[in-house]
Amino acid sequence: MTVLDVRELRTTFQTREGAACAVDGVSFTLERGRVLGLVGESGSGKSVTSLSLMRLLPRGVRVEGQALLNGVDLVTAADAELRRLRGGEIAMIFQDPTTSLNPVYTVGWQLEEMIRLHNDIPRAQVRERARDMLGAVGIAQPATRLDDYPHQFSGGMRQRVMIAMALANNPSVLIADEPTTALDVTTQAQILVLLRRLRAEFDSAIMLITHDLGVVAEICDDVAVMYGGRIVERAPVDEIFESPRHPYTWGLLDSMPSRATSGRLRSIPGTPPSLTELPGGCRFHPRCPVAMDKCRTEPPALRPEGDDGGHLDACHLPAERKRAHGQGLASAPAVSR
Amino acid sequence: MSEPLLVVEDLVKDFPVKRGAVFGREIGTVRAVDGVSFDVRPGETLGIVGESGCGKSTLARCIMRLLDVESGRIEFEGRDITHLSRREMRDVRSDLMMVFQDPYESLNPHMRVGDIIAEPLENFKRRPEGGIRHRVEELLDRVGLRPEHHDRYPHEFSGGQRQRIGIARALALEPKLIVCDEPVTALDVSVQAQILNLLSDLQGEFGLTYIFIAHDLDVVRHVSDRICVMYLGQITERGRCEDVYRHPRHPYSASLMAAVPIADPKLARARKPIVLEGEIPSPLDRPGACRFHPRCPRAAEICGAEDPPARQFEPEHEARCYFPVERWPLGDPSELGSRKDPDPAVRSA
Ligand SMILES: Nc1ncnc2c1ncn2[C@@H]1O[C@H](COP(=O)(O)OP(=O)(O)O)[C@@H](O)[C@H]1O
Ligand code: SF4
Ligand SMILES: [Mg+2]
Repeated sequence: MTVLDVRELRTTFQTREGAACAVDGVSFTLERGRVLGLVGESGSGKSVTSLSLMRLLPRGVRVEGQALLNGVDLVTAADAELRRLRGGEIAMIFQDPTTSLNPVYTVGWQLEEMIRLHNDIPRAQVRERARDMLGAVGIAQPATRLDDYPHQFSGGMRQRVMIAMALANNPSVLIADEPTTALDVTTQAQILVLLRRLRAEFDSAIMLITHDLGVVAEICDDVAVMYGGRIVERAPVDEIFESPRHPYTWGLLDSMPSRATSGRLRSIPGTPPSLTELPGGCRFHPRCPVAMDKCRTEPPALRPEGDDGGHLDACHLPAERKRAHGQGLASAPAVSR
Repeated sequence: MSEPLLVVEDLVKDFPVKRGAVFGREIGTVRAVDGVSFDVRPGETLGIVGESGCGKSTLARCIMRLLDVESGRIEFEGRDITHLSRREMRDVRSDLMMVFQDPYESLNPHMRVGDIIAEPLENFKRRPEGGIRHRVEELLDRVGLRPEHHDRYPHEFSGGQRQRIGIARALALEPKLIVCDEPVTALDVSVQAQILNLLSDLQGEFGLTYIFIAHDLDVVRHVSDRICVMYLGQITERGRCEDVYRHPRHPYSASLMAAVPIADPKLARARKPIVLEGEIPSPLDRPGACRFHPRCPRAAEICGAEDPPARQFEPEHEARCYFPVERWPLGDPSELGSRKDPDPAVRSA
């Protein structure tokens, strides 16, 4: 069941060099009990997408399009409505938990405040719920830890507190922006187990933003690959890994040392474009190993190939070449200009 | 087998712990590196892997002699350099270079790129054939930058390009050994792949030897000939890369490998996760005996009582554990918690 329906989301910043479109017509849906992975390299617009949905961007940033959360459009909702929704229907976890926990209040106070804001229930019950949430995310002795301050928790534990806060009100949508990137691999594994359990127990729709395709394979059901503010490929997770169609997705997969077949890695030459110098046509064309003339001028639309409606890509290549991942692609030049 | 280029023996490094922000009183010490020994052979890449705070970077800085050590020995080309003065270090310095994690912090923002790369040449009063400028342009070219980048400033470059600048600088004096501390951690995956390829090309071309430090197990596996796994200041397991990855023996390395996400959704779903309890303890209250025993699913009484000896498996493959992992991959995650051997502490009691 669709909980969040995002259509043609477009976010424009005013920069010294003029208007810059960080998110450029992005569409996707989030479904109950499923995890959508939003992947791409830094600057591709993943965080701006989530901040646009949460309406957490500074004033003066233009957000257009639609984002329907159970019928309410987040893009146009009034501030009062947004306050009701945030932390209630829709919640967010950030990469760095220190930015979103207030150092001067105890963790319990912040968690209770989050619950109180969205529920009209007696004090004792609020405290009980806060304790249960802390326990649910795997924090030992939750009743006593409620009285601790954020700095008394380790990085991994703070991330759990963040998750507890985000889930305190059973949100229908959880947006997690690089929730494990700052964590060690054994702590990351703990958080992933936790997210898996939450998907199953709370039946929330989760959008997981990450640059790590390993994390995607571990936990996502669907994947949207972003490049230069646009989604370039969208498909169920197995499809993305087994039959990626977009040359950028090929490059991402081939860059992974764990998937390397020889000493040299096949990758993508050059670097991701900056917001103020996004190329025209297909935004990937300057780095694309198989770009054609058309790619420099015409932006390809995100569309299905044949009747496979679940797998979309935005690339001008003919269908049979999109299936030829890995054929005739050279390894990453160590020297690229 | 050729003579090792670098030998590290029983290295120990402590840091003081202070209480109070301004007039900090020393209240104790933290042992960041705790009896580390290994050698590095010419032309190889020795990988050092471990989670944050395990002492990897401190170890690197000790080897580079940027930090003085409490005890132990560092030998470079057969010469003991552990206590050389700054002056005496000069002869060795040019053979021993470092590439840092953060290409944003490690380059002086007020210097032009050309001057950053030329600095080691100036410091060592080298007069390369064709002049310094020519040599710098050669280096720029070699790492995939352009001659016109010479007069730009670091902030004009992307993270990947800055890492290329750092590598060019490290190459300037034609060193024998380069210590790379998390050189690709801050980079996007496609750029990471370019830098890994570059490092491997340079190694082939100049016969370089690398110590490659990282927390990413996939990256370390890709580049290393041999690896050391660190936990709380100690090397818990070491061996040829393929041996250690094919069958990790120490329960910590095993848990670490089991925690790395697999970039294949079908395999990932089929795998039952091994999830370690708890977190890496603060180095302030480091457990005794086997450092890993409070978190170890196989721990017995002896593990908390006595330092485990190193046990040998394949040639060069050893792990410091009383109850090494018998088979890999595990049939079931619970196997990690069930050791076959009895606890010698209990037996003798
Ligand atoms: N407040 C802002 N003002 C101007 N540009 C911004 C702002 N926030 C983000 N950007 C730019 O928008 C682009 C997309 O950024 P982001 O969504 O953070 O990428 P990702 O999360 O995929 O790494 C980047 O070029 C970034 O620099
Ligand atoms: S549209 Fe053209 S440039 Fe873009 S990915 Fe496809 S082939 Fe490459
Ligand atoms: Mg981001």
